[in-house]
Amino acid sequence: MLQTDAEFMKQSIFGERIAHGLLGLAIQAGLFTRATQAFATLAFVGLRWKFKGPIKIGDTIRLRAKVADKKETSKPDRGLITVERTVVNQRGEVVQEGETDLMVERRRA
Amino acid sequence: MSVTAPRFYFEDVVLHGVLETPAMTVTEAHVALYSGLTGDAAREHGLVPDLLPLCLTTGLGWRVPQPPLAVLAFMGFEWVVDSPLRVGDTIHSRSKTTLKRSMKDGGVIIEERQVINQRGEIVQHGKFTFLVAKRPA
Repeated sequence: MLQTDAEFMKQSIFGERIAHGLLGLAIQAGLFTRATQAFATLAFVGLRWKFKGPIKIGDTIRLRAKVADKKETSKPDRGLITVERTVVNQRGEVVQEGETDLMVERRRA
Repeated sequence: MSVTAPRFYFEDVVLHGVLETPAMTVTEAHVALYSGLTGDAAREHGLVPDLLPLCLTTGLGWRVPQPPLAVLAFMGFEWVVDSPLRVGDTIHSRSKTTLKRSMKDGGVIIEERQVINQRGEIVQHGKFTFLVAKRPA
């Protein structure tokens, strides 16, 4: 109902339909690929994520990402990169934020 | 005035209760629709984008006999990808509530969820934190 029933949502705290939080997460994943030169990502290891506010239909979201940590691993061909991400709407409000861990290939010696 | 379907409230949540969903085969069509919508693609053809199984298990959760959880807010979650999923794999999810904390208006629950493939292997897992409504007086 949160996403599909406009009449029901008129009476809610949001006043209108909101996008599923996971849709915001999935869209920011796509935006990340357009934000930077492609990482040589071998695997997406995991994430820790918070939903801070609703995304309403018609909202415009953008992603701000920062490399927060780089760690070598026991394997010489890869390292772990932690990217801090902030998803903001057109009013500059943070709607989602979190950290994603990526296993990234190392340059060959 | 719309008919209100039954909801599963904070009081109804069973601590340590396990719920298993039906299974779904992840197809090329799922991947194409997801990638077209979000711009998020898998690293190589034949692999499923990592967030897609997570999103699909949310939908599978609506297909269990239990009424839907009266979620007031999906606060956040942690997620781990254990191994990649391939197009043609079949997944279902298994969830267990591991924490219930009552608050003034509603309660917080933590649900641990596993995504399992057709070989019984856990391919993804994590913890969700929900703010759930209490039964109306």
